[in-house]
Amino acid sequence: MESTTDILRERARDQDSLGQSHALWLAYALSLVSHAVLIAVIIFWPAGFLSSPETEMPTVVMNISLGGPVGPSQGGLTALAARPVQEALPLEEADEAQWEQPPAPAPPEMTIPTPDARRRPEADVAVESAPDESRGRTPTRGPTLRREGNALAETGSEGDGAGLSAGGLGSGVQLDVADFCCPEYLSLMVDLIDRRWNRRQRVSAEVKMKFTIQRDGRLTDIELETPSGYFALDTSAERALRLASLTPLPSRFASDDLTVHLTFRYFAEERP
Amino acid sequence: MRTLGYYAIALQTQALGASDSGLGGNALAWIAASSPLSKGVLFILFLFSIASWAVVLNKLWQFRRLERQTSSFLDIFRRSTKFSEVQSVCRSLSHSPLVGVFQAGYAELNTQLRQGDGATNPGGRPAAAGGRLTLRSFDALDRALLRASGVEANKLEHRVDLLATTASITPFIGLFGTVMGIVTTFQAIGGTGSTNLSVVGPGIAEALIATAAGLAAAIPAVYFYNLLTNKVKLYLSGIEDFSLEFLNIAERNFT
Repeated sequence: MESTTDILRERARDQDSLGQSHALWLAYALSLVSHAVLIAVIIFWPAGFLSSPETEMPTVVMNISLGGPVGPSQGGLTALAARPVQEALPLEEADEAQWEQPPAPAPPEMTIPTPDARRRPEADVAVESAPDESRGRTPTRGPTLRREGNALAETGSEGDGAGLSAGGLGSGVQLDVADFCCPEYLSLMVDLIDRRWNRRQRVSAEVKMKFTIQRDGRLTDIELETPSGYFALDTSAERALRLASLTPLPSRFASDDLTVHLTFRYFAEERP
Repeated sequence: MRTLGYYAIALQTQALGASDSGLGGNALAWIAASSPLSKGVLFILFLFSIASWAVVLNKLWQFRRLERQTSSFLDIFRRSTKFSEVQSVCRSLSHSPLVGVFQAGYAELNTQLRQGDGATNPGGRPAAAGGRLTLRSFDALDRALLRASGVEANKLEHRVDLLATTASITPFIGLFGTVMGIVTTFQAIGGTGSTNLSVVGPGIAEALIATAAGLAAAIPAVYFYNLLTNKVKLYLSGIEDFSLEFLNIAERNFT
């Protein structure tokens, strides 16, 4: 007959016996497999496991809206911070302002001074200059000065950014790099593409193209993003991109390439 | 200046474009490109998670088997009239902690009765009249049951401590990985001189994966640690109850 101690020792050893640890190894294997499955699901989930397919990732889009209505052909670089600056216009020749004259004091009537009239007492302090209240603006009458140009239009956009204004026939530039260094490159790029593009079509439509500018200025990955519905317009936009020869990216720009979404807008109108 | 066309341009840097697929298809490449430190952190967290889940599965199986066997053992124990009958089924129900307690008590009982069975020990009590067996030391039986319940308690709590460790350590490991990742990111910012979100964002996101992994390992561990320790507490009170019952029966029959 075993003693109590033997039995207890046997029971304590039981937990490390083969049967018990076999179950433990099985549990380890199961755990490993389920982890692998979970990770595989996370990695290979079609549209990203964590981001829901409907919502797009918020991009840091900086709207520097330069597209404007048709206007006089004037342009130039805008200031930073998305404030299009109007061209300074020559000041209008204003009519000469007329100073408003105080009415002339009425001439005093001749009176006999009353004998007991006394002089007002002199002020103790000699007044050397007019008091502050009595100085100041001179009221004027006449036409207001109208001033045009050099006005800053608040576009409501936030953040820094650069843009170019093409004046009336402005092009819209949307940057989602907060600190794209070189606005003049954009201006150049738009101009170079525009030279190859035949804008004058008979319909109004929009074609959105996507392309990538390599460091050496080559355009690659030209794709039609949003077709207009007219084959000719799509082709015309794509042709403009394929023919355009851009200059290399500015050296101050850090990335190796720059992906651009460019919308070509055709307007059915006759412009010279 | 020549008039430009009517277009609007959206520029997008390549880096930002790469990150908009979320934690999707490029997560593997992302982790592969991360620093050795964050890889190590993720690996450690992975090991912790695997080990804690293995313990959870193992313990749940063990406890389910234990509950089944305990209820059938108690059934047999309460229906039978002799301890020897109960002893014979012990072999097949060995996963129940009550079996260990019972076997220890039964062995102690047997030893004492066998010794008392022989000639009267010098200084000991003579055997009771009428051939009725008597227990020499009731306290010794109590102590034997107490020892057995200690052994069973150890068996029940075995490896549950790994869950507590996982629950308390893994968030800190993950946080460590995140902090180091952010340090690296800030160094990168200093190096390039660019505070562009497309430069900063992926680094911070990559760093935060470590914290997420730490939490993912810790949360189930906390839950199952509470569940299992609660179960262990219940079983321990069951063991206590059983040993008192055993003592009562022994006292009724052998004194």
